[in-house]
Amino acid sequence: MELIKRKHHKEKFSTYFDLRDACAQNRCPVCRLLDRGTERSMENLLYENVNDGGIRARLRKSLGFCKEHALFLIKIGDTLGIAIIYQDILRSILKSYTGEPSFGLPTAQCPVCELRSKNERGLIDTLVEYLDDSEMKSALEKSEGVCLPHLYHLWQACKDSSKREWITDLHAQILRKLRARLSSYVRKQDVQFQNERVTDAEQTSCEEAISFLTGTNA
Amino acid sequence: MRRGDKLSDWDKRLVDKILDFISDAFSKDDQPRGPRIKFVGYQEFMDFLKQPGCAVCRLINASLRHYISVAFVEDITNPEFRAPLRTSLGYCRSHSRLVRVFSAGKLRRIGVAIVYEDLLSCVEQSLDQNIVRLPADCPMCGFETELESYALTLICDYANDVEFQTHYQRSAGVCLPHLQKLLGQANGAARSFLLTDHRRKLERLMTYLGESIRKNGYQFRAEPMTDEEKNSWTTALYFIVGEPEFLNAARS
Repeated sequence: MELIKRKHHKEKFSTYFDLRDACAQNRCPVCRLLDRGTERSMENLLYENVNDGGIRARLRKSLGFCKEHALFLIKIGDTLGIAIIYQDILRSILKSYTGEPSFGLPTAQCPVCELRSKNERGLIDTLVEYLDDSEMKSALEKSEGVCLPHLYHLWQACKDSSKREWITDLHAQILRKLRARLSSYVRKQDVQFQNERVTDAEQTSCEEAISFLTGTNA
Repeated sequence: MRRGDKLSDWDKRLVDKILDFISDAFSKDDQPRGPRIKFVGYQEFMDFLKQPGCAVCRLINASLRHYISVAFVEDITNPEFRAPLRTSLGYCRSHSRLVRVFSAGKLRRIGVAIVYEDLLSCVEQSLDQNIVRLPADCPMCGFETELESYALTLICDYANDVEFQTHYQRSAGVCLPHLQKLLGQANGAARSFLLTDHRRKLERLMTYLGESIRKNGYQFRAEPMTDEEKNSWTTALYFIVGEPEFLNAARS
């Protein structure tokens, strides 16, 4: 009997705890964890793997990073590491500088995008798996919810209709609150209500709405 | 994308307004193509060439900023602006970032708040029916493609002109994604000019990068770096991915 009980009890692993903890902070917990992973992998690349032959060959294929992640790289700001990586990429571009139709086109996906989509799948699967876990449910209820792109993936991955319903109901409630803050912000811009103080939550509601629809942060 | 594809009537009118601002010559289909007379658009483009970085990205970014200023201040009650946004559920990631950065001004911010409140209500309605729908077909992407195509055509048409060539050689030219498209579009002497000029620019950038890396070495650290060498890492990065939409924020 004890053995059967144990079998049914899901073992919680680090992704579960990371997700649960990320729910306590602002923004979509999946985006937050993905951004953390991106930052770590880029720091790791710049501080430890700039001269790794395999990584450099991979970066030559993808012509470095996509625009979004290349700009992220600037934020980390290790000038020398970035200069070495991009000198290598420019050298390979100059070698094949013919102006042929394939010239200047990457032959591989941005490595960070690749890593993110792999991590994203793992995070969404974990969320789906633990949607019936009381601790995870309560964390999600207290959170700002996931962004629309991740809500879509989550919704698609949920095979159980009761889980689907729970997740859409929860996000409808979260959205209603966010919309109320936005409405209040707009109302207080009117001259007749200008004496009413705009709260911090109302002030940031605009950014939260953009963030919810696209999952973007900065 | 052909001109006008996927753009709403409102978008098309705004594109025309901005293209009139950028180029009188290229907004008229019956106008003979070619570098015969220098139009207002040509002079405007020369100004973009004088600035650092890809001139096409600069032109697009300036126009997108103009788009946001017009849209979120003057057109928030215009159904022609709002209806496509309700269908697309706002803008793509990169253009949403742009809206976010440029919504700092109070007037624009109210406009953004009104528009996004409406978009949230659209999502809420579908959630109430237990349906989740993804944002798609960003209106600003269509607008950007339109502007890009005009700027590339302008370069192709004037690339044989001596005055244009002199300005182009002095400039940073265009970024790799735009160069790739430009070389696919240009023919004959224009293509050969662009190819040769960009090879020279790339070799120069490689020299600056090489020097910047060398001077980072301990034994050469006393040697002063020129501005070109100091900025070579960002110049290389922007050459490969294109200029960021919110350049001043990223440059700082």
